[in-house]
Amino acid sequence: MPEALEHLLGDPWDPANPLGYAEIVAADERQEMFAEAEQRLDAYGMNAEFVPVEYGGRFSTLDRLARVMRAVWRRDPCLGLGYGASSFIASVNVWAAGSSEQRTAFAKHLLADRKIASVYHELAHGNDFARAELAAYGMRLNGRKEVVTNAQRADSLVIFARTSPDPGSRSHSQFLVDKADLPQDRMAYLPRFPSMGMRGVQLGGVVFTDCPIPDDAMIGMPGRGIETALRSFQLTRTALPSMIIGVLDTGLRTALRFTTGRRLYGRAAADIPYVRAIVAEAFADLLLCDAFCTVTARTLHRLPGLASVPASLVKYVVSQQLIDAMNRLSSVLGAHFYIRDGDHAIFQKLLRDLAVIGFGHAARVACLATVLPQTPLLAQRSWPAAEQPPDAIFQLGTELPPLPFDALAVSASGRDTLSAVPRSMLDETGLDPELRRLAALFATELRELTSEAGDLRPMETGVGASPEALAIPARLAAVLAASACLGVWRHAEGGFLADPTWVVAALTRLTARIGKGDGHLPAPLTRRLMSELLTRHEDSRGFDLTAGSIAG
Amino acid sequence: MDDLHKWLTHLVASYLEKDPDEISGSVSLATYGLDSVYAFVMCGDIEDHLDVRLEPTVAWDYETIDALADHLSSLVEQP
Amino acid sequence: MTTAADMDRVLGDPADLRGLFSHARLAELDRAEEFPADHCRELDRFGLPAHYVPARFGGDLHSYPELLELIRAVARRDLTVAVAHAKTFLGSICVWLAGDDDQAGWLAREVRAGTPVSWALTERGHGSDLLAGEVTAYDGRLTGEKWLINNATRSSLLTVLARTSPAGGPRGFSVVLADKRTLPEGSYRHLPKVPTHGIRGADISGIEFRDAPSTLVGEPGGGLELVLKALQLTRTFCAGLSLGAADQALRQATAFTRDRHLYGRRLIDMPHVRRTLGEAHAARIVGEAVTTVAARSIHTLPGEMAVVSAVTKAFVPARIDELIGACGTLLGARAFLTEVLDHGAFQKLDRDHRVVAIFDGSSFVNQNALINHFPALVGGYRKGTVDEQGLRRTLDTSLPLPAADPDQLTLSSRNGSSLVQHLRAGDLPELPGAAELRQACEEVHGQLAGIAPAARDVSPEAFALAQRYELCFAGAAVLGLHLVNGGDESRATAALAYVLARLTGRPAGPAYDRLAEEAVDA
Repeated sequence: MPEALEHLLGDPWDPANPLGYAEIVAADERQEMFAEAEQRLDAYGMNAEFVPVEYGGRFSTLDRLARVMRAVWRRDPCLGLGYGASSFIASVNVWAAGSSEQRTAFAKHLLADRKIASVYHELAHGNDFARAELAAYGMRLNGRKEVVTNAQRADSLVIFARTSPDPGSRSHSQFLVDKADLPQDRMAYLPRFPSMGMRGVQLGGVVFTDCPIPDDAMIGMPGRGIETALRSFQLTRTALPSMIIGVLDTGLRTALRFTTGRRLYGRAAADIPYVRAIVAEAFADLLLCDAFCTVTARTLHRLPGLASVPASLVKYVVSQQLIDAMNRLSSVLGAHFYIRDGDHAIFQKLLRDLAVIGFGHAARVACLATVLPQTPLLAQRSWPAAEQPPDAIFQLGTELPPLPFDALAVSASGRDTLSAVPRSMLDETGLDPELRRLAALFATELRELTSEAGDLRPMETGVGASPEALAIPARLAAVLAASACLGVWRHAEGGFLADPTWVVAALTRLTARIGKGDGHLPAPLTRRLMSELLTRHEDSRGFDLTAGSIAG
Repeated sequence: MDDLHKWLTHLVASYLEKDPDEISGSVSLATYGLDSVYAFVMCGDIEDHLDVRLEPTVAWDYETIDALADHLSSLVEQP
Repeated sequence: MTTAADMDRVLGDPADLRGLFSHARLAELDRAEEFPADHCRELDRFGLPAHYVPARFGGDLHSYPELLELIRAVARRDLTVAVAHAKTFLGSICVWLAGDDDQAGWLAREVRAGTPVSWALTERGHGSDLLAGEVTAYDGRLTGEKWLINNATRSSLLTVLARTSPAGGPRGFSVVLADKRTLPEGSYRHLPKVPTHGIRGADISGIEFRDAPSTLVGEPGGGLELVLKALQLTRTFCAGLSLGAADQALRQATAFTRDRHLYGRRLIDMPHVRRTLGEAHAARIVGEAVTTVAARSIHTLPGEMAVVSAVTKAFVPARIDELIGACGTLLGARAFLTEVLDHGAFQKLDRDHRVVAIFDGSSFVNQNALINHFPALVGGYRKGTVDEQGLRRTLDTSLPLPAADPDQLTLSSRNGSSLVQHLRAGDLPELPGAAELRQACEEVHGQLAGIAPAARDVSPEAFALAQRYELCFAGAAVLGLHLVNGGDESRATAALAYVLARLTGRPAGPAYDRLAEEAVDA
């Protein structure tokens, strides 16, 4: 559980903690992974979090996994990616399409603290992986992959390779390869790609020259590489942004520590209304990101066939929301955000590390482009009169069925229930009037989207899509995020989550995404959010939906 | 079968905003520039037309109008 | 007398690995966090320091717009070098504004000889709150610590804001000049270089004085006023740094989207890429318009500089930060990696440029200054107060500029802004959106009137309005320059669309697309 991991890693602000921010920043300066922390994560058995329970690990639900990983990301994104997420990215393809032998062997591998690299990226093709060139004709690899996390220090590789020269979506396959099984003279490493952020992470590359791979290396059926990736990466596109929310938690904590300890113009900086507004808005952003991530993660369990749409859009929303919130918080820190040592040094590191979320593992616009072609069918089949989603996707912490990997689908075939939530709120009696107004805005937005998406010609939904067409999935993303917030609020059992404060704030923030508001919070909301935030800060609790106990 | 082939040809032509006469049944859809995501649009239209449920990837596996028409006919003819 | 074009020649080909100002060499310095000493010397040799010295003291500074173009040319190649070298200008300004002829003449000779001058304002724990300063200069003896000072260590001379009356307050501070070369041993020590997010090679450090002798600059007790006037010039100057960064970011993004293929086509042929690139180009045009007006206003509307400089410093660096962010999304992984694409020049400028928004007064500080002006802005707008001659000389770029007269600078602009106020009744060019801008300005001033003056609890709404006012100013700058000088209509249209998209939500798309196409074809 997150609490156990928090306890193990200790209070990061404590200068006496060998795993604290001072050492984390120092490792980053050395461009090294933080070795002591990696040992501690080994001791915790971090990799077991990525192995499904049926294969002997602790991976039960995706929202739980993301919450556990937040404890890592809120300390050091380099560890989050370089220790954790990169093996997780590689693993989902194996769980989704590997043979039972492959899954068993792979689980054993992970449980022995080994690392797996996900060997997908070619600089020349970026997100366009249908054009990936590294080839595996006749079970022999030829070509190169670049900017691959842990390429050199991983023990095994999940490789995405071309297996047919034809264009189209059945020309690539995936392979699971243990490096020990490859002839050493056929694989060479590229020099490391140094980077502005994630400086400790070893971004490398590999070159294969007529390199034979074992006959049983293929993951799933030949030619299914793209389909497997599109299905399984729904997990990672949901879980990674969710983990990365931990970065904003620390950003907020840095701003609070800075402003409560600092006097400006004769008072604590934390009392300046403008500063309070920025901090409260960032808190609302964190909560809305968590709600969207959590509901999407739970959707993957309960309605796997419908998850392709929210899984892409969650990445789109959360990446921008987190980057914007951190940039605004940097203005609260003023010149101090710019300094790489001292009490607030972690902030500039987080800012640099966070940049990766904008383009890594699918660029934001690629997320929209994935969803756009689905919108005409959604508009036709679901949006006018969709049924309500199951309660379970909103009920935090309740049991979920294991992830049905087989049921993940590349397209939702026009099915969506999440977006029906705002409209259903309007039937509720005694609803907070502001919340009703906001819910009505998003219900109206969906009606407008229904007509606009219905009018799209297929030619307008492809690679050459106009910015106006791409705005349709972008606005849908805001509707789904608002729906997730409303659903979580409606099913909350009490306390802060059942109070309309946060959900009104979250929806107010989201109005800016549909051009129906400036996203600024009125003063009474700011006051209530600040009071909650400061209480949690005082009590060492997380700033996310579950507000769990943390170590400082 | 011929009707279905003709209907598919018109459908593809409408996506590409071309004349149906310019569309050959034996050329892969990818060659026409219909990238992978079009398949989902197409799948929905075929489902509605034939009143069947299909894998969204059906147009990835049957890459030409000829192949797709064959496959769909066999589906529809099944009891 | 040298020009920005001469400067480009001096800097040489950035791709030439042997060149002093090559991307490769500059990247190396950044990695090593090494001060660009050779580069500064080269700029000295070129004669840049003479441009920091006003003509009346024998220097080459005749025109602030020319100075900004020069510094933009340096910043375009490397912001760290620009920030490191130009500090001497910032450090000297107080003397140009308030020093007596002997002092100014002496400093002019020093600056021209390449002596680095620094400007020590901020202290640990007080940041922008200058009145909280604890460094004292009783009887001219400096004591205390100045921190986060550009070139605190490398400079020979420092102008320092220090408390000269124990009670402090607006008349309790003075500016003094310290010459390290003549200071007694033990009367000062340097504080260690502060490692920073960007401008890693720059000397960002501090200095601690102990009973160090100094000479007064200007009136005793006049320090705060002097610094605030000097900041009106330096805040305008900062826009030149931002525009240089914008040039480099756009150069990279434009070339990349033209040359790279994805999904079987050039990036630039993807409509959303074209839109993003076009918007970034529009942002630069708007930033240029504001900067041109601001730099000329030093000469032509000095009494309005309190408003003009606050708008410029709050608006231009923030918009250019956004522009850089947008170019970064186009470059993707290449904006993140430090050794691909021009030796990682993009990620360097991204980090470097973020300092521009925070030094010499953050957006927060400048917007506060604007908010304090709201009553004057509303009054001036309602009365239609316009300095017709001053405005004409500001906007007509073919007119020679009168010599800058620092005595005309005032701490507050009594008459608001002629540029914006002219928009109410003046002629409008026939540009799409011109009438809408006028309407939006009308609304914004109505909103400004609704904000009650508050010395302490300035509401977030007031800050949001300050941002809207900045947009009015920017739109007025675009319109005014176009009306008087003519010029490329599609550029002005796109720039106005950029402003209106933010003020009124008016869609700006097609205007951006044309701009991107022109940029790629150029």
